[in-house]
Amino acid sequence: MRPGSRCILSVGRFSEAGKVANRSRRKFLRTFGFALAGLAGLPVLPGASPSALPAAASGNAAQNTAVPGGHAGGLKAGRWGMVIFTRKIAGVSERHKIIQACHEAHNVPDIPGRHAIKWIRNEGFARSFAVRQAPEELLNRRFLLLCNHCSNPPCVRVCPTRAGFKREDGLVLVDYGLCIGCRLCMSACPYGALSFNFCDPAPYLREIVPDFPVRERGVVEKCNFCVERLDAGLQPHCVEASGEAVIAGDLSDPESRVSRALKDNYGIRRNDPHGLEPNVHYIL
Amino acid sequence: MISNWHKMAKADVLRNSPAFSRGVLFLLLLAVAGLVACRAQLSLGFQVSGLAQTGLPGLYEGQFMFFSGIGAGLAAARLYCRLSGRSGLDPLILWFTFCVLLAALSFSAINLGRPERFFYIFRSHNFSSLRFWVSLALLVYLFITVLSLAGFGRKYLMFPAVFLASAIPVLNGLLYQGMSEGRFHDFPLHSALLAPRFLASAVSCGLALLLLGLFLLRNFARFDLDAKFVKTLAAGSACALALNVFFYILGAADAFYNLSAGRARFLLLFFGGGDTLRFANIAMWLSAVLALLALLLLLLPRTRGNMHLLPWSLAMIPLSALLEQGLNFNAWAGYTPSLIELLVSAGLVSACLALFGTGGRRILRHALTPVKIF
Ligand code: SF4
Ligand code: SF4
Repeated sequence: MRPGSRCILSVGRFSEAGKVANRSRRKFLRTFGFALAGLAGLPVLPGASPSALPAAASGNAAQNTAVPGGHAGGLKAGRWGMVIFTRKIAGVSERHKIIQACHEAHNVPDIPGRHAIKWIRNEGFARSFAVRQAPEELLNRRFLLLCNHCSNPPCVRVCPTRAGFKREDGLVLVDYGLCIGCRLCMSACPYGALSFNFCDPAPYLREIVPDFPVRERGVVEKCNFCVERLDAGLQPHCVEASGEAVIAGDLSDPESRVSRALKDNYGIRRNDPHGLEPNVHYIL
Repeated sequence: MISNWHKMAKADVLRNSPAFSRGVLFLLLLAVAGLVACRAQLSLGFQVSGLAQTGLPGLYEGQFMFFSGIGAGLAAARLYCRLSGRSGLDPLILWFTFCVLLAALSFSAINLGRPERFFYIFRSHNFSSLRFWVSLALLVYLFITVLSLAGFGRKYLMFPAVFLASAIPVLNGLLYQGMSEGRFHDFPLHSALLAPRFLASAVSCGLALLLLGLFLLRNFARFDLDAKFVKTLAAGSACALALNVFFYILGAADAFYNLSAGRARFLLLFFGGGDTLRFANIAMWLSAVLALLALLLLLLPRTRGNMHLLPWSLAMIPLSALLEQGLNFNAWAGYTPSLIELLVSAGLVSACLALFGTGGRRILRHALTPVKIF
C-alpha cells in the first residue's frame, strides 16, 4: 500500500448524526419475523400444494406425472423389470458382449477416464450391493449394473424441466431435447446410473447407428431399457446378447417369466434404504 | 435509472479518481478474461471443468448458493434501513441486490450443460423440483428489485421482496435435503438444520456485505456514515452469525452422536479423509476459525465499536461462508475446480463488482445528497 493511501476496507469518516431509535430495531424485527412466519405457512414451498405434498414426501411424485407410453404393435407391461442370472455371466467375455451390444446400438461413446459414459457397467459385489462380507466367490464375482427403472425414481422428481420422466409401464426415460444439463438427477440417483456428456460425444463413436439419436454435449443419458425395441415388439439388446442370462418382462404379472424366475430363485436388488423400489433383480 | 446505468458507469470511470478508475479497469480486465474462459466452456463443454461423472455440484453451484444467499440477506438490511428512517439508502441497497442477483442467476445458468435452455425450467416446469422453485423465487425477486429501482411501488414491493428473500435460502437448503436419496443422503449435516442455517448465514452475510460495500464506496464518494447505524447492523450480522454457528454446532453434535456412515463424513471434513479431503480440511478449519473470531469480535462491544477493526471482523463472515459453502461442498468429494472454472467465476464476480462500484457511486453522488442519507 502506498504511503498515504487508504485500505479499501477502511471506514473513513463517521458522524454521530444518526438517530437510530430502539423503536426502529423492534419494528424491523417484528416485520422480519412476520415475513418469516408467513414463509412457514405459505404453500410456495416445493411440493407443498395439497396434492403434491404427500406425493413428494412419499417419493411418489413421479408416479403422478407418469406419461402414457408404448406402441400398438409393441411389447406391453404393467411394470417392466429385469432379472439377471449372475452365475451365467460370470466370465469377462459374456459381460463384455452384453455391454458392447448395448453401447453400440445406442451410440454410447467410448470416452476414456473420468468423463466416461456408461449405460451398463461392471462392478464387484461390495460396490454393487453395499455388502462387504460374503463368500469369497461372490466377492470376486462381477455384476452388471444399469438403471433400475425404479418405481419411485428420485431422478424424475428433481428434474426441473420434466426431461426425466416415467412412463405408465414403469420405464424411466430422459428426453434429450428437454434436458438442460443441471445434473440434479445424477445427484439424486443413488445408483450412479446416469452419465453426463461433458463433451461432444460424436468424435468418440467408432460407428454411428443411424436409427438412434447421437446425443449433444451437455445433456444427461442412461439406459432406456431399449424402449425403441420394446415398442417395435423386440426384446432389449442386453437380453438378446446374453443368451438366457438376462430376462426382461412384466413384474406386475405374477405369471410372467420374470416373476416366475423370482419365485423359483433367491433374488436380491441393489441397496434400497429410501424405498425407490428398483426393478432390476439379481439371482445370485 | 436502470436504462442509463451503462452511461452512468462510463461517465464515472472517466471522471473519477485514478484509484477508482484503476480498480474498475482491473475488474473489467478480469471480467474479459472470464468471458474468454466462458466462451471456451461454452464451445468445449464441461470437459474443461474439474467435474467428473459424480454429478456433485461444482464451484458454480457453490457460488450460486453463496450469491443468492447474499441477495436474500440484503433484504433484511433494506428492511432495517427503511424501518429506521434511512430509506435514502434504498436505491443503493437495491442496486447491490440487483448486482448480486445477477451474479447468482449467471452462476445458475453457467452451471448448466446447456445454458441456452435455462428458461426451459419455466417453459416445461416440474412443480416437484426444488430447482424450479428456487429459480422462480430468484427471478421474481430480481424483477421486484428492478421495479423498485425504477421507482415503482417501492414501499409496497418491500414485503413480497422480503418474503422471497426469506424463501431463497430456505429453498436452497431444501434443495440439498430434497436430493436425499442420492449421494446427498450422506450430506455432512442434519438435513433439517440446513434451511434455517442457510437463512441465518444469508442474513449475516447480507448485513456484513452491505456495511463492507458502504465502507468501500466511502473511499470514492462523499458521504458520512453514522456510527450507531453501523454498530446496529454489525450487531444484527453478529446475531445471525451466532444462530448460524449454533445450527452448525447442532449438526456437529448430531454427527458425533449419530456416527452413521453419512453423518460421520462431517467429522472427516475436519479430521481426515486423506489427500482428497486435504483442501476441505484446511477450508473447514479456516472457515470455522474465521466465523468464531468474527463472532467474538462483533459480540464484544469494545471490538465492535472499534471502527478500524470492524471492517475486518465483518469481512470474515462472508469469507467464512465462501469457504464453507461456496467452495467446500465440492472439495470434500475430491473435486478441484479447473482454471477455466476459476476464471469464469472471478470474471463474473468482477463484472458484478464493477457494476456495483460504478453504479453505486453514481447513486451516492447524484441520486442522493448526504443530508438525504442520514
Ligand atoms: S436407477 Fe437411478 S436413474 Fe434409474 S430410475 Fe432409479 S434413480 Fe432414476
Ligand atoms: S440433467 Fe437433464 S434430465 Fe437430469 S435433472 Fe437436469 S434437466 Fe433433468
